[in-house]
Amino acid sequence: MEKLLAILEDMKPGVDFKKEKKLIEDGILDSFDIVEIIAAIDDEFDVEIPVMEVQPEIFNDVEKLYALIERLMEE
Amino acid sequence: MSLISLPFMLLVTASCVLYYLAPKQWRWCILLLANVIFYVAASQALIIFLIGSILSVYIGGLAINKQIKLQKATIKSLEKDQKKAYKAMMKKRKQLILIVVLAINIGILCYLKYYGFFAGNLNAINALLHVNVNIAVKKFVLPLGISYYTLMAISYMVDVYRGKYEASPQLGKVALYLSFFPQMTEGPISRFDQLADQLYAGNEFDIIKFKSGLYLILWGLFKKLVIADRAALYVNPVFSGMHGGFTAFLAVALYTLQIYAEFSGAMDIVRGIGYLFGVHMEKNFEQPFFSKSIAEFWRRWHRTLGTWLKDYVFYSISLSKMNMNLNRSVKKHMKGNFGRFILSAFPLFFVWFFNGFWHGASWKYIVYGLYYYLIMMMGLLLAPVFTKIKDTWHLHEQRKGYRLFCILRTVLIVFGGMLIFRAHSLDDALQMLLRIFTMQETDILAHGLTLVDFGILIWGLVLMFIIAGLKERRVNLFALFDQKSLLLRYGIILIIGVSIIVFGIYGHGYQASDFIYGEF
Repeated sequence: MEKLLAILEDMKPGVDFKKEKKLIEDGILDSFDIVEIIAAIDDEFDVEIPVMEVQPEIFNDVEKLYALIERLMEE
Repeated sequence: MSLISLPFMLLVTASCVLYYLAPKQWRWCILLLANVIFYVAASQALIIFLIGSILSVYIGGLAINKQIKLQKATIKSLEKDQKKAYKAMMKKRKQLILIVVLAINIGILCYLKYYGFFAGNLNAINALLHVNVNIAVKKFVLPLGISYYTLMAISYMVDVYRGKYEASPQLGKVALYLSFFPQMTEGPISRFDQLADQLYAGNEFDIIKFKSGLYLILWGLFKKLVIADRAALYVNPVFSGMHGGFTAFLAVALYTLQIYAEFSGAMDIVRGIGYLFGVHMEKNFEQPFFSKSIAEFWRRWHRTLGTWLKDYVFYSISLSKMNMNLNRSVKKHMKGNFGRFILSAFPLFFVWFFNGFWHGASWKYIVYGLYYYLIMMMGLLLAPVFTKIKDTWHLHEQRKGYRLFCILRTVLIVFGGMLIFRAHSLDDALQMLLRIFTMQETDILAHGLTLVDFGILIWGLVLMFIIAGLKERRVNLFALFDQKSLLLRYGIILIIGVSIIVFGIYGHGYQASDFIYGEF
């Protein structure tokens, strides 16, 4: 989780990613950010996030995004 | 069959009555029958192309389903090192099915809609190279809604391939999804997981949805007949002549409002008809003229096309292996905004190219799409400069004055796009733009609209923007309207209804003009 938070905070300094639950809906992250996050996750966790998982419900909340990474790592 | 023609209204009424009279399990058949009647009346034998699309995605979807089930059953018994190779093999199989089905659907669309464009351009290249080959430039009659239902067919196949949902084993459900008659002429570009179950379910009569549907239809008719068609009386002659100055500028502004009132009005009618059957359809517009940037404008204007391009073009290209490798390489060498500019340039080019080309088979529409591409890219490139200006001049994004400036800037950029979109050719668009700045023409009452017409138009626009303003403040207009006294409600309905009859613009035999987006 700490590694993911570091990626996000490096990309968007000043955002409280632990508290914020509407990252997409509130316009904090846009499509370009999502692509950058996916690339960083690929590098850091060696996990490819498939396109079908690029849903606002997942990227709205860092906990849901981390749960997805864990699931993909297990697979 | 136009959305506002008498036969269409009769079809809606008859199918709605029969829908609720039929037993629940047969209601989807009434809808399917209405779809067939509508399509045959509008496009006769060309229904064969729609049937071809339905069958191709139905069979293709089931074929992918079969591969996914086979993969799930087999993979458990494999060793870890065998799993990767097996997954890659199955992925290739699914890809092959997807490519075949997409090639059928995109191939039909390209052949019918773009053959003339490609043939004309190849002939021009041949002439330049002195090659004595001339391809016949044929123009085909397009099956109604082909641009819309092809995108819906693609989204269904890609979603099944990506594993977002399983392909439907019910042919009727797939057929209903691709042929739902209200959305055939102008969209919205619906998604299978949002629409199909609602169409297949056999919905109970819901008085709240039914009333909302009727209000939406009435409001859509008002926007089309009173606002859009009245604005067209000024727009058409000015765009056809050699006008400039304020006269031409007003034509561009009015065309922008015309297309908004007409397209969003059509969507109100379509969504309203959906509600009559208890079906909720996606919004295509969300107060686009309150946008503070072009990116925001396109999130609010023709939303179902924008989200389709984002999901199936932008992410497909951005998350491809090639683009991911580019991403890593760029991030190593370029930090910050310029890196993002470089990375956005490639996928966004395709998004805006397809946006333009989808609208029509001509260079004018491609330039229309690329116009927005250039604006977006310039915005990304100059973002640090804008931030510096804002900091230096202490401009706060939340201040009313600054927000108003951003809205006006966005509207002016949109006017530029609409000028390209409406002009007969790119040359005409450029000439008209030059005349706006070089000619001193201010006469606006000699081009189809009288002072009274302008008064009615302004009244309609004010009403439209008051309602848009309320929606922007998240006011639930249906709930608000229903809370009012019966007298007031019927009074408002009567005023809108009478306005449509008295102030609506009708041509020969009380036939309203066609919808612009119906041509795509």
